[in-house]
Amino acid sequence: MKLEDIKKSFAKDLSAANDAKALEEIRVKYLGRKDGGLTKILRSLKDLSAAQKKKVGPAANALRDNIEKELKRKLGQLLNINNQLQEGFDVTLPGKKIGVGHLHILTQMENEIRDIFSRLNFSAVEGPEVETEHYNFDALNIPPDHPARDMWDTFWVQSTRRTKTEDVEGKLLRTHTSPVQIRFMESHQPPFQIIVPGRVFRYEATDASHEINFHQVEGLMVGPNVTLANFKYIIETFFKQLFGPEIGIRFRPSYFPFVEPGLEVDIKLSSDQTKLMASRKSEWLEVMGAGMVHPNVFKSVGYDPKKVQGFAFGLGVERLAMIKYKIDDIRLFHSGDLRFINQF
Amino acid sequence: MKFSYTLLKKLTKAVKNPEQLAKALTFHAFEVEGIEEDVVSVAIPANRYSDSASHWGLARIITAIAGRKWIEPKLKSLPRKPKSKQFSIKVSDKDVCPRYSALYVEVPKIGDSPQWLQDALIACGLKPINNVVDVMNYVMLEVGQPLHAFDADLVEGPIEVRLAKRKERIITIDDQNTSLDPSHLVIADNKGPLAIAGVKGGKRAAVNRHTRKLIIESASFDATSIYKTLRAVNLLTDASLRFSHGLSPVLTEKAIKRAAALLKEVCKAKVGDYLDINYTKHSHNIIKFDLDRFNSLTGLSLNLPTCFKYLKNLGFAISGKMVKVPEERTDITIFEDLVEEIVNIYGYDKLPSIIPHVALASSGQEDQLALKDQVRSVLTGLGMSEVYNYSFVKRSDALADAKIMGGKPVALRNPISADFQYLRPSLRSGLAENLKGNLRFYDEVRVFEVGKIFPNDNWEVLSLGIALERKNGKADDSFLELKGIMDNLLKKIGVVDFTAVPYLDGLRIESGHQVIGFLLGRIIELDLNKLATLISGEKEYLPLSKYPTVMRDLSFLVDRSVRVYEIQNLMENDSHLLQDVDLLDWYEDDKLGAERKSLTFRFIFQANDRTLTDEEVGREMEKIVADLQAKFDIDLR
Repeated sequence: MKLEDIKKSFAKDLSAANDAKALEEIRVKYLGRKDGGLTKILRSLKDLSAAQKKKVGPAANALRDNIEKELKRKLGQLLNINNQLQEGFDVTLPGKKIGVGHLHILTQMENEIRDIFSRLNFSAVEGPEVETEHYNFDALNIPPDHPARDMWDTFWVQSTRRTKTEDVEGKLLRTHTSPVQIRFMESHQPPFQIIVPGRVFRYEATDASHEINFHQVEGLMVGPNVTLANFKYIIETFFKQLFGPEIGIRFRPSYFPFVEPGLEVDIKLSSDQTKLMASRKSEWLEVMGAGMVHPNVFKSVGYDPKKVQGFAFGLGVERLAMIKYKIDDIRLFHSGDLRFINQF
Repeated sequence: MKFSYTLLKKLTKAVKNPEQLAKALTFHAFEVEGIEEDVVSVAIPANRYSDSASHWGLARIITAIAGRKWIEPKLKSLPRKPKSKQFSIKVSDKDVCPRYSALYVEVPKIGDSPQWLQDALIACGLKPINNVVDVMNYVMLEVGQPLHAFDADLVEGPIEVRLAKRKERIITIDDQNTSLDPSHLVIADNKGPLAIAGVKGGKRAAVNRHTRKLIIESASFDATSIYKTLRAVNLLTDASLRFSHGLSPVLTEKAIKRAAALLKEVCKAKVGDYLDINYTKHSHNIIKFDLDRFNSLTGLSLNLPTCFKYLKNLGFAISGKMVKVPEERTDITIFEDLVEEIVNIYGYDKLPSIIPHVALASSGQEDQLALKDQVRSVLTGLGMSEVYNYSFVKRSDALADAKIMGGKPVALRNPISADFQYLRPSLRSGLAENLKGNLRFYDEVRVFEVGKIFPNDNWEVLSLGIALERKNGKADDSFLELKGIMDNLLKKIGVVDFTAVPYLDGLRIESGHQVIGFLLGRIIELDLNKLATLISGEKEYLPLSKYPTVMRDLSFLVDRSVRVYEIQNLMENDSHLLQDVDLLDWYEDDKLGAERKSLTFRFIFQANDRTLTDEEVGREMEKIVADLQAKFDIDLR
C-alpha cells in the first residue's frame, strides 16, 4: 500500500469511527506492531536505497505522527460529545426509576430500638423460638397449674417422638422473650445489660390489634446496685429518643410473676393516634411490662439474690410501630403486601 | 372484675368521685379499665384474688392510698359447735379442702331480695335469683369468699367433701349433665354429688321456692385442684375463678358471719348451729423489714416511720422491725413483696430517675444479629424488599417443603386453624405466596425474608429466603438473576468458597462439605446458621498487577446436555495464567443442530512478573481448546 492510499483510507476510517473501541481498531490497523499498514512500510525502510529512504522516510514518519495526533484528537472529541447533553435536551423530564429495596418496617423499628439501647451500653442477644416449659414458665416463677399461666395463651408443639417416661417436658412456642433472660444468666455473670429482640407467639383470635405471632424486645440489667430509679431513667431516655423529648410517659403498678415490684409503662397518644385505636377510650397506651427481677428468678439461675439486683422489661415492637407510623391494623405487618412494605 | 361504685363509696370516705377513684387505683394499685354509671372495672392481678377481689379488700386499699387505715365492719361472733343435731359434715381429703365452715339456717320464705341488694349484684354482673342466693353472692362480693346454700331437706345424710368416684355424674343447676372423675372434688351426700366443689352447684339440693331449711357452705379449696377441675369440665364461674386463684382460709368464717347477719336482716332467718372443720394452722407470716435494702432496691431514701405507716394503713401489723402480714395477703411471702406495697402507695410519679453507675464495658451484639443486618443491607441494595411471613403453614405446604429440607415437619397440638397447623419447615411457601399476591399489583416482585424455620422438632434454623418473579419475563432469566444475587450476597458477606450443584430442577448450594441452601425455581433459601460459620476473616489487599491483561474470546458448539459449570470448571483449572473466564453469550438454535448449543467465553490472562506475549497466550488457549475437545466434543466456530 502506498502512503497516499493509507492517508485516504485512514481519513475515511476516522470519520466513520464513533467510539473509543473503533479508534483502537483503527490504531491497530495502521500502527499495530505486527500487521499495521504504516508499520509495515516503516519496517521496510531499512531495505530501501539511501535515496528512496530519504524520500519515503520523512513522509512516512510525518504520516505516523499525524495519525497519532488525529486519533488523539478524535478520541478527545468523542469523549467530549458523550459527556455533554444534546442540544435542546429537556432537563425537566422525570428521573429514571431505580429499583430500590425496602427493609420491613418491623426491622427498621427493631434497628432503631437496638441503636438506642446500644448507645445506652446494652448488648443484643437472641434465643430460640421453640422453648421448654421450664424456660418459658417455671424458671420465671410462673408455677404449673396456676391461673397466672392464663396470662399467656400458649401454642403447644406436638412431639413426634414417643417416650415411655410420663414426664416428657412439653415444648411450646415462647409466649414472650423473657426465657432468654434465664438462658443468658445461666451462662453469664453480672454486671451486664442486655436486650433481646425476637418473635413471640400467642394462641388467640386475630383482629386489628391481636396477632398469633408478633415481636418483642426484652431488656435485662443486673448488677450489685441497679435500682428501680435506674429503670425509670433508662426507660424515660429510651422513649424520649424514640418519640422525641415531648413524649408523655407514665408508670403504674402491675403484676408479672417474674418481677417484684412489677409495673407497666404507658405512653400518651396524640389525638389522631387515639382515634386510630378504634377500641380505645383512653389516650394512654400500655407499651411495656417491667419490674425488679424476682429473687426466685435469680435463684433459678444460681445467682445469690442478696448480692445482685436488677430490672427487666419487655416491649411490643408492632405496637410501637403502629403508634409511630399510625398503622391501624396489626395484621398488615405479616401480610407480605409490598404496597404496605414499600411505604417505609 | 366488676365492682359497685355505690357500695365502695358506702364503705370508705376515700372515694370522692369516679375520676379520682380511677386515678388513685390505677397509679397506686390496679388498673381501672373504666367506670360507667355504677360499674367500676378493675384489673385484679392473678395473685390478688384473696385480698382484693372484694369490696372490703378494695376499700382497704383505696383508704390506704388516701393515707388512712380502713376499719373493717365489726361482725357478731358465731359460737362454734363441735357437733350438731341439725346437720353433719365430713371432710375426706384435708389437703384439697383444708377448711369447711357451715351454718344451719331456717327461713320463713323464699322471695325476692331488696332493691339495693339487687342493684349491687347487677352492677357486678350477677343476676338476682332469690333472697337466699342473692345474699350468698352479695357476701362473695363484699368479702371475696364464695358461698353455697343447700336445701337441708333435700340432703340425705351427712355432707361429705370427697373426690368423685369413677363415672359419677352430676346435673348442675343450669341443667348440664356433667361426668366426673376422681381428680374432681365434690360435695356429696348418701345419694351422690350435690355440687362440684368450688365450681358449680348441683340441681338436686338447690334452693327453690319451697326451701325452708338451709345449710350454708363456706369452704376453702386447694387452688390447683379447682383450676384443674374447671379446665377439665370447662365451667368458669365467679366462684371457680376466685377459688382457682387461691383464697385464704381465714375468709370462710368472716363470710359465714357476714352471711348470718345479712340472712337475718334480709330474709328474717333464724340462725342455727355453726360447724367449722379447720385443718389449717394459725401461722402468721412475719417478715423482717430492712430499710437499707429497701432504699438500695428502689433508689429512694424513705425513712422507717414512712414505710411503716404505709404498711399499717394496708393492714400490716408492725412490731419493732418485724412486719406481720394480714392472713388474706397470700401474695406476700418475701421482703420484696413489702417493697412493692410501699412503692405503690408512695407512687411511681414521685420515684426519681437516676442514671445508673456501672463499669464501662463495651456493648456488642451476637454474630447472628450482625449477619442478619449485613444480609438485609446487601439485599435491599440489590433492590429486594423485605417481608415478614407467619411462622405457621398448612399441612400440604409443610409436607412439600420438609421434603426438600430433609426433615419431618412439626405440627401444633392446638393450631389456631388448618391454615396454620404446622410450624414452617422452610420459608418457601410463604415467599411463593408473596410472589403470587404481589404480582397482582406489580410487574416484577423481588422479596426476601429472614426468619426461623423448623425442619423437625429438634431443629430450629435461622433461614434466608429470596424470591423473584416477573409478570412477562422468562423463568430462566429470573433464575439466573437470583443466582447472580446469591453470588454477590455470598461474596459480600465473606463466604468465598461455595459451589452450586444441580439438584432437582435447580441447584443445591454447598460450602465446606455441607449443604447451605437451595435455589429452586423462583426461590433461594440459605441457612444463615451455617453461613455464619463459613464466613472467612477480614479481606486482604492483593497488589494490582503492573503488567497488562490479554483478552481472548472463544466460541464453540457443544451438546446441550453438557452443563456450563462443568466446562467452566475445566477452563478455570487448566491454566495458571488465566485470571478470569466468563460466559459472554449462549444460545440454542435448531440451525446449530437440534442437540447443540453455542457458547462464547471471554478469557483474561495475566502474569504478575512480566508482560505476556501473544505466543504464550496462544499456547495456553491451544491447551484449553484441546482439553475441551477431548472432554466435551466441541466444534470451534
